Amino acid sequence: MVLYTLYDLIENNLPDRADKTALVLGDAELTYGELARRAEALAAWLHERGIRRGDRVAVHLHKSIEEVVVTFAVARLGAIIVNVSYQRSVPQLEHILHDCQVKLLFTDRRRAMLAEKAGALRAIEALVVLGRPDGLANATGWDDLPRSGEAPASRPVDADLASLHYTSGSTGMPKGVMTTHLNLLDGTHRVADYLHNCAEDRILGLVSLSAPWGLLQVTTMFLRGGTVVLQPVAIPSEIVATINAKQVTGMAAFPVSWIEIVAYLQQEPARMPSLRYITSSGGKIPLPTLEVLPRVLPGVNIYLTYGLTEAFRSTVLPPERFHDKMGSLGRPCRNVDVFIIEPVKGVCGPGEQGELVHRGTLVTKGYWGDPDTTAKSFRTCEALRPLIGDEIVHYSGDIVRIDDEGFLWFVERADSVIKCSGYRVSPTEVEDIVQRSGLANHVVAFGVEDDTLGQVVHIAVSAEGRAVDLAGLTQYCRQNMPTFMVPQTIHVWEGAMPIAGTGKVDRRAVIETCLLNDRK
Amino acid sequence: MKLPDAPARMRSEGAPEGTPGKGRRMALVRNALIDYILSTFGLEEGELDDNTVLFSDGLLDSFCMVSLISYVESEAGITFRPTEVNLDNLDSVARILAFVERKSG
Repeated sequence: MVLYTLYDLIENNLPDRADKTALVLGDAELTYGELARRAEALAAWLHERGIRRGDRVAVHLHKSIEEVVVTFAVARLGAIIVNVSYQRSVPQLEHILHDCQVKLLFTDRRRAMLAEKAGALRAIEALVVLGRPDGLANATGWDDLPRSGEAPASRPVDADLASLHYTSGSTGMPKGVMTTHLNLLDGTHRVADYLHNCAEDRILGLVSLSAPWGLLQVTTMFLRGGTVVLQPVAIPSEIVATINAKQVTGMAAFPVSWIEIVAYLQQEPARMPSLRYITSSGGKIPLPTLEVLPRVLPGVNIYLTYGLTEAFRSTVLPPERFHDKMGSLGRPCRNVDVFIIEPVKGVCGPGEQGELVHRGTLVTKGYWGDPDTTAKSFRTCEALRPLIGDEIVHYSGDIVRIDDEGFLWFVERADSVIKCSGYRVSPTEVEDIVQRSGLANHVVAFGVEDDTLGQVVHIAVSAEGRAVDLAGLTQYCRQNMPTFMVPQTIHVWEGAMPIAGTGKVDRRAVIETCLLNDRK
Repeated sequence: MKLPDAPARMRSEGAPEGTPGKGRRMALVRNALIDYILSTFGLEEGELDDNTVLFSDGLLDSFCMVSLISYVESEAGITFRPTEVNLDNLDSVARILAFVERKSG
């Protein structure tokens, strides 16, 4: 069977593995056969409710079996799944529902009540609620959905959008990255290939499915007929317990989790005999943690990888090069072209540095409803024209150096986007929220390096003559931002902020002064 | 576990809570704990009672756990060992209070 779309990944297991466990969460288990039956029944119900190919359906749930069922039911219909991370705030949820005109939302009772109270659900037609649906408009309870049913036979094609993954750039609100079935299947093949996944694998599902990398935890297992052990909390002691209780063989996590897990294992060494490999992505693991990693996880293969929401699964540092290339992003995966482009020199060679540019099937389709922003990073490349003509490539915004063996090393971001705990934060989104509080006249948000989280958000605020209400501002941020976005430090700027030639606040001068004061 | 400070660490005056000196045995008061969780994590009254599940259903995330642990440690004058940072000890107000009582007793 040729696999073209997400749903094919489940169906492919039915002839031989219908009774095999596909998903585990605590004591609950779901077989491939049961998963297919539930997804089919839900797809039939969605179709009855008017959901069609291309429609957007959102899911905003804590890690659960239901989240996976919804994802594949939506894919079965050829509709587009929009997974809104459970860490996002209600205003961000509202933005996303509105931005891509979501027709139907799956969430839990608590979030639905909060969102409805804030008026965030006005744009959607219907709601499915885990828990009681009473008191909510146009809501159906998950338990009241039909247990069986057959969706129309027609299937999407691999060029159809399968999902929108919301992420931030250097400006504005989060944008939805348009991802096709082909993008997801291609990434799935690549990851399963470099991790040597097989039917015997049981991988820990820790990373949120709102990120493509998280979704790939599920799709790689379904591709190879393995099992996903969903892990709802990122506490080191609980992760170790799950790995041993459920015989987990592989695990993916962001650097922030690896830092915590390594620190934990250094104090409380634990044997995890079932664990075959671990893998990291979404930023740099600090060198002190990298150095300890093989010692606290003896015999475990370590795969450090790089990729973006816009172009996923790009490079990998294989375990056999972990020691001599420690800290490197690795080399391009199979079926991926990576070029390092410098504006003057063009394509860079060994010893040179420039912007990492992706070319190939991994390049997604840009940002939903925002052709202008799309055109900035998804465009043709003059330097590559002799090789690929006017094909669209993806400019990553990451400046990297290439060494004499072709391994890539991260140097810096080309823009001002802040990366905290694996999440991208836009400085202007932070600034807009702080402005709306009415507690500051001018505000500048910026990222500051942090040993654990990669970067943290700092803001500089001026109230021009008035005293800044720090407690009030902190409270406002906590209520209106997801936790990863809340400023860790508020710098109070006395008097007016310096103005640059354009008449706007001189951001660079403000940031440099704050950083200088920090060092004192 | 290496943990960052509370979400908004302010260098200027006007920090909302003082930090009691380490090592002193202090009491963790139930109502104060509930007030702390409600106000710090932006929850609404009525959303939280002694047995509300805090972490395993995603009501609070790992950022909140870091702040909550710092708060409990400074209020109760105890320190969590890495293995004690788990759901049995942290997943509800009742569990936190029971842990603190065991630890102080």
